[in-house]
Amino acid sequence: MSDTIKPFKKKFPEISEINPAKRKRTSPASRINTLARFREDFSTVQSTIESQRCFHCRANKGLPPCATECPLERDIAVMFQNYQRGDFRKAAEAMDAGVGLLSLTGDYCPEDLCKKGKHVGSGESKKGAGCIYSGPNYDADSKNPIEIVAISEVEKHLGMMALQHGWNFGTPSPRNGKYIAVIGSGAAGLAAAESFNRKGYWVMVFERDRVFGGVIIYGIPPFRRDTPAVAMTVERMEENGIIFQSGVTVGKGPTIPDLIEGNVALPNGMKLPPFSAVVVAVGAGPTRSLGVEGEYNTIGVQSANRYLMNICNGGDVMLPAEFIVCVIGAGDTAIDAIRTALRLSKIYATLYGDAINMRTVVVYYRDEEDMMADANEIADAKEESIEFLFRHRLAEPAPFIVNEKNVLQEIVLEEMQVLDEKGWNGKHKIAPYEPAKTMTKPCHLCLNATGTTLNTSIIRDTPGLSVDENTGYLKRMGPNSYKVDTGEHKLPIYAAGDINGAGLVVTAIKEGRDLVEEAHQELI
Amino acid sequence: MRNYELLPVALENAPKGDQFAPADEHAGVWSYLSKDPCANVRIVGDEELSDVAKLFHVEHPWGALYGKAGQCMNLRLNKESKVVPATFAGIGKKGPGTISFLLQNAGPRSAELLKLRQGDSLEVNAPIGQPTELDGVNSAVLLGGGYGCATSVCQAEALRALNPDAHITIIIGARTYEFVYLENDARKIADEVMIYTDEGDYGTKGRVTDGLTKILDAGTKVDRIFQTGPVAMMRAVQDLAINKYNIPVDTSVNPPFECGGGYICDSCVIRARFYDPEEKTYGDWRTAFACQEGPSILGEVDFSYEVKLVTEPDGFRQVDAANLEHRQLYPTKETQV
Repeated sequence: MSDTIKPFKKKFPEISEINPAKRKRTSPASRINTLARFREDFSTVQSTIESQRCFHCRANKGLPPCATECPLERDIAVMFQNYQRGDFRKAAEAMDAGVGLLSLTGDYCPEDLCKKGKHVGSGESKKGAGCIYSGPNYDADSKNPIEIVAISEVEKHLGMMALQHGWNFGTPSPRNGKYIAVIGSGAAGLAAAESFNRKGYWVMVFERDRVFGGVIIYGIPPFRRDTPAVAMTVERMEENGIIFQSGVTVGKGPTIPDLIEGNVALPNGMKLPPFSAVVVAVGAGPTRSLGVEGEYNTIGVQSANRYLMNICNGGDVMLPAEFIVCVIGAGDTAIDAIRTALRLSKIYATLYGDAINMRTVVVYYRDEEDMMADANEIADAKEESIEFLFRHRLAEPAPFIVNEKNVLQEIVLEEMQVLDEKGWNGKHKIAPYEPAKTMTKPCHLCLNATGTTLNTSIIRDTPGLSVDENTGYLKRMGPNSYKVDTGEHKLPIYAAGDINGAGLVVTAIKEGRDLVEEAHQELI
Repeated sequence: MRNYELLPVALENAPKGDQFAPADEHAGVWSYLSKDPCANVRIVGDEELSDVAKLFHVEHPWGALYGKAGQCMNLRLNKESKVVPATFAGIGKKGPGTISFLLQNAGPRSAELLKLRQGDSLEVNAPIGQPTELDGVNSAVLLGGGYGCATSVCQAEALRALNPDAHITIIIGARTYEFVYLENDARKIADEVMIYTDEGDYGTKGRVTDGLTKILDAGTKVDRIFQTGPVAMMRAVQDLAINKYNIPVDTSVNPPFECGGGYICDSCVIRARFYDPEEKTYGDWRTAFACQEGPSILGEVDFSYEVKLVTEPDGFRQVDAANLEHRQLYPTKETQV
């Protein structure tokens, strides 16, 4: 035995030495060559080390400071406490929060919510909120900054553990014989279905697509999403007695009043039960129009949602040869779309031996601090050599310069000045220069990621539904009520998710869960 | 990149018996729908119409219940393959709960689907869009170019069911005799059938517009013209009907319906001015989602939008996204890079 066992130099190793808190990630240069996920999930060892770093600190209200901004109001400290003891099942149960979509929240929550205590919407941290390591003593510039506890990583790890071990927190209560129809199988729809099922209702979910998961599946590119986890979650829900119907568009097929009155008879003579309540979780509407000439009839101008959807839904994706891709907007969709375009060009080059020299630029009319996208995603995008052009927007009225075949060649951008004053949404106001400062940039694919508008198809197909003039979204009984105002029709319709205004996956889950509480009071 | 294996493990405390399926009178429908009957539909019949075209009949309870003439559907072999749009060619033709569609080889997507036979299954998302408006039509001319005549025959059947006294003329246009489809079905339903082929080896040599001119010049009263077919044909017919004879025309546009009627993609955006049959006036030109207000559009369609959607532009590479993702996520030895 020539090797001698080295004694520990220090009594306790530094946290930064033993802590593999950062997720293992592939380097930017290699991860842009594939569409696959590049963040590895935490292992049990990593999660255990991570959970031992948690102090289980409590703020005044009783909730730990990391949980104060969690829309689902989950006690994160209890999760870590149980994880330390090795009681993984109890740890998962603490994060279950009555909806059991752990693997989804772990994946798609913006980490700033729990780690840094940032408000949903405005990017400002609430005082005293967030992981204690991110508090006033947190110094990111120091040599060995203490890492914030990796909450969402452990959560995701627990979510996958729950799916793999078949832990069931969603066993339904004794059935009460009432039927519920949920329209849409996105995050909000799944949450509502699961919560109703737990209360003992019979739940049927209608999805117009072939795949369940909604915008999680077709709005989030594969390098950020975990398709098997979503499919497995749906499978688990089916095992608990929820029924999923794919390829049924409510409104075009059965209408909501039909479902409520029980007027739907299948061709084989079977009749659907009358549904006691209908949950409208149909998601957002079409991409906001750019309001400029040539938006829909120029080759090379597309909606970013369409671009992303084609990746998942099986379509042709436009890829300009060796030119510039511009994305208008700076939300999550914009960052996702541009990173997808970059990856596709690299994959194409590898598969077909045909090099594409592509530049990818995000164009946004405000400054960096006002960007809506998740800060981590922006940081990742910057690592991947995505360029950002701030304080610019498309010049009106005709920003698209095309060649004789109507293919986009250049775009005209107008410089904007960002004012100190902030608008209603907590972002800086902008104003154009007088006279306008414009510039022309070569661009061969322009993706519109300026946001979505209201989904009007369900409103048009259902009597009684209307748009609230103040909010611009579906008219509800009150600001805190999820029940839809149907006027004299008085239909038991509830709305959740993006149809109440675009938001995060976790806020959609919260709405889906909370509407069940409200509906249960009225139905029982 | 995934460091866990997804193994099928039984769910603990899964509900059983009364807890899993209702014990009341709705137990039957609940257990029938729990199998998700429209997820993977079975082909109950296929008729080979030519070397490159087939008429499929599939079991699709929801589509048969709510599908109407003029609406369309999205076809897909499986989750990895691409979407192919098709229009209804019949409802309940092979028993209750079945729908039919005609598919012609127009590229690798449809070629893949044409290999299917009776007993195989595929994914069908139906119905998409609005049905054709047939109210108040007493005399109609339906023009079907190529495989578009399936839509015309279906529309004619719906019109006959709605208005048994209606005078229906179907004009079928095709390249050669081989591509004349569903002639017998058309003869069964229509008062008059005219067939035009480019080569002249069957019917009359010429184009469908010749037949339309013949009918209209003879002074026959025509309430409405319905047309489905290639863009060049639809543009010519629309020109003739609106500008020369001032007859409202219903055009079934055929853009790609990528998301399937959910406003997510802008792939089916068209520009049109819609005709109001009650006021007998045209509205303003505006953009519209064909999956919401179409695919059969009563009014005038701007075909420059349509062309953008169906042609492959220069300077771009169409990347088969479904294939790419599949290769990347599940690499085989050959494709591993």
